[in-house]
Amino acid sequence: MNSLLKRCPDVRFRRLGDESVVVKQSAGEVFVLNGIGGRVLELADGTVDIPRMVDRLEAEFDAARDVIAVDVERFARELEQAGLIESLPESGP
Amino acid sequence: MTFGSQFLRYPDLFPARIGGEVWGEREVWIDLPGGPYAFTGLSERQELAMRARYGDYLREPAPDFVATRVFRAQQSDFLEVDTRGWEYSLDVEHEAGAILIAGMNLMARLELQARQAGAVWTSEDREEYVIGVVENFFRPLLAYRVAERGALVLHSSAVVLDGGAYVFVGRSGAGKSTVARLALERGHAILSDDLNVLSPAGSGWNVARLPFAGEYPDHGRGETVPVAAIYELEKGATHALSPTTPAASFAALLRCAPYVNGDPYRVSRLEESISAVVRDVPCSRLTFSLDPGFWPIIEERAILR
Amino acid sequence: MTLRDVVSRTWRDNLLFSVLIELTYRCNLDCFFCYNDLAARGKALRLDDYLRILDELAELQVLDVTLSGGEPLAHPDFFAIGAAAKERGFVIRLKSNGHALRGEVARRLRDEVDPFVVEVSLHGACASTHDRQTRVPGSFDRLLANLAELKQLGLRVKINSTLTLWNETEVERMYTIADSLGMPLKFDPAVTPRDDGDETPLNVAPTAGGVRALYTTQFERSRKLGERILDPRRSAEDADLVEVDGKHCGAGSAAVAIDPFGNVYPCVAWRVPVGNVHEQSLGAIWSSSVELDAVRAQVVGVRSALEKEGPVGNLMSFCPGLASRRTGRPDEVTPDMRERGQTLLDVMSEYSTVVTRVAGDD
Repeated sequence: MNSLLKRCPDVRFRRLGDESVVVKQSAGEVFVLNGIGGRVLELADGTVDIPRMVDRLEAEFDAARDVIAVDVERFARELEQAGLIESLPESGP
Repeated sequence: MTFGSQFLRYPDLFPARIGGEVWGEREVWIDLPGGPYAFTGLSERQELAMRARYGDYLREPAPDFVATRVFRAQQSDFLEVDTRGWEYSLDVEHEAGAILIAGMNLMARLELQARQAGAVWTSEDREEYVIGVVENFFRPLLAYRVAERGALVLHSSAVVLDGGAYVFVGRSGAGKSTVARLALERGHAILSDDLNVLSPAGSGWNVARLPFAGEYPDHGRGETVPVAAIYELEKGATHALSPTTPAASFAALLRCAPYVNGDPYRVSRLEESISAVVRDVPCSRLTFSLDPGFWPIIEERAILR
Repeated sequence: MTLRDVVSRTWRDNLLFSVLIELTYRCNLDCFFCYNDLAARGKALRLDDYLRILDELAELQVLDVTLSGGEPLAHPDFFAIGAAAKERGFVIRLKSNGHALRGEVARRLRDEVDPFVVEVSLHGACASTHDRQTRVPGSFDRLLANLAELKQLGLRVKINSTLTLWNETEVERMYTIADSLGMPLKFDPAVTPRDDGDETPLNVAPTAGGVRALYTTQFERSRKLGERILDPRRSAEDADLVEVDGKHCGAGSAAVAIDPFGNVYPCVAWRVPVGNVHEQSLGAIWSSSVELDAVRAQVVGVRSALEKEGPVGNLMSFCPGLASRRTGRPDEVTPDMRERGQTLLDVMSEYSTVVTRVAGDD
């Protein structure tokens, strides 16, 4: 899954300490995400793919790269299933 | 067309109560019939413009007054009106307890129940425009206030001759301003050639000018003069004075009593006053051809009085 | 972590989460019991002030922004402010009387502001009752038509109502209206004095019988819907209360309200100014206002006052802001609040027994 990740337009969220509160407006649903989950959502601005997200988060969290990579993969999948982010085909060659 | 749609972007949002955010904390107090009137919530510029405009009529704060609060609106509240070849008339709606007014850069409410009070919402505080906006509210405000007290505002020209006032009413274009101009040329004093107030005085009526628009608005603070006669103007080839029936005079005066005459809720009080005027003051029809030839007729009557 | 945990945490840690902004006291209706202080003075906030405030709120990680009034749409910069709030990623709630929410205004609201929810007020089940309250003839018929239009546009709408002497016999029919529109209806059983302390609105406070009938109707509906009704005789925890560090509510701890003149209050109902955004940033007020600290201590004090009331204490929807206005003390329970709590307790007791049995949940 090397596509770019982008938050769905109906998603609103804020950080609350090390967690994030997320509202999916269209469905009226509220989610609470832990640190990495929240950061994945925050970074998903449509210009970043998973490897680049892992690069960023490796610098932020005190954990091994492969552990972070697994988390990011998992969260990205869950967020996509929840309708909070969508994957875009990667731009460029 | 719904009320206000000619002037307001969203007529549905027309204020239903006196509330909002004022321009500032400046106030102006004005002494005119039906008053005193207080305009509050003004910006400094609005205050200065009002002071300059109503100089002779300004007064100190008084306990019993009619308050109008001026609130800030934005240009975006109002539509751009293309004024080419267009005659400006306010949009007025009558309710049981209030009069609603919409105009260029103007929304206003005049609350007539319990505590009488007015509110103006405008996007203007430029001196050259704010006076017009305020006056578009002040005129009806004053007309309602005096009507309630048994007096009336009349679209008219009033000329003073030998201590008596001769009041000329008529449809727009009938010659009221011409009469005023000719009177000045002949050396007679005039009150207003636009709006005058008639109020009961003993067994007769007095008239005083209002300092609103008209050809001669800056005539200083006017005196109060007993009304000697009322003439309904009618354009004609020659000059002639003819009697009218009380009903015809009543109709002519009612036509010329602005604002209140179109208000189904409040016209009856006005009608009572007009009936009294017709009873107390000689009324006749003056046919004239827009030249000074009619003066002898009037002057002769003034001397005979 | 659940949303309830999140709310708890905002209260505990004083994390500003919800801000209510009264944009203007202009209004296109003239409700008899409106709480606005129409004599309030001050320098009104302008569009650039609002943009600055919204930037700051986003920075502070505020999620909920409620636009209120007066009628917020009557603020001449409403759409600019609303669009700016949307752009900054807030969950926007709009409290509107609904009178102008049709045609172009409704479409612009959806497209430019995209609120999470629009909360409108219904004051009765018929034109004579509703219009008596709004003092604008035709407002009831207009509201019903507008609600249908909002639904058509895909906007989420909640209906709020205050129980009054005038509408207390129309509760069931009001629910029928809400049901037919597929919109939730929430009642506030208490009429409040105006923000300037004027108690005229209390003249239309509902009767004790009216309050009881409201609760009965509500529990009857819950029962039909098979909802669980809590047993008030059990612990306060069961009364589904969020309560953290002994705080009674989030006023001043997770929420503030801002009036059209920039005054900041701990809550829309608690009109003790804790600062003004003309003079200080909201962040500075939030972190250093002495008045706000006092409020945070007071919402703790409220808990002990309510505990003395027994189970009723948790059921009277006690509002320290309202208590302040009524008695000058944020922790003083008035007899009518106590009576309302007792009524709820009585009705709840009847229904919780029934439901416990029906649902076999115990």
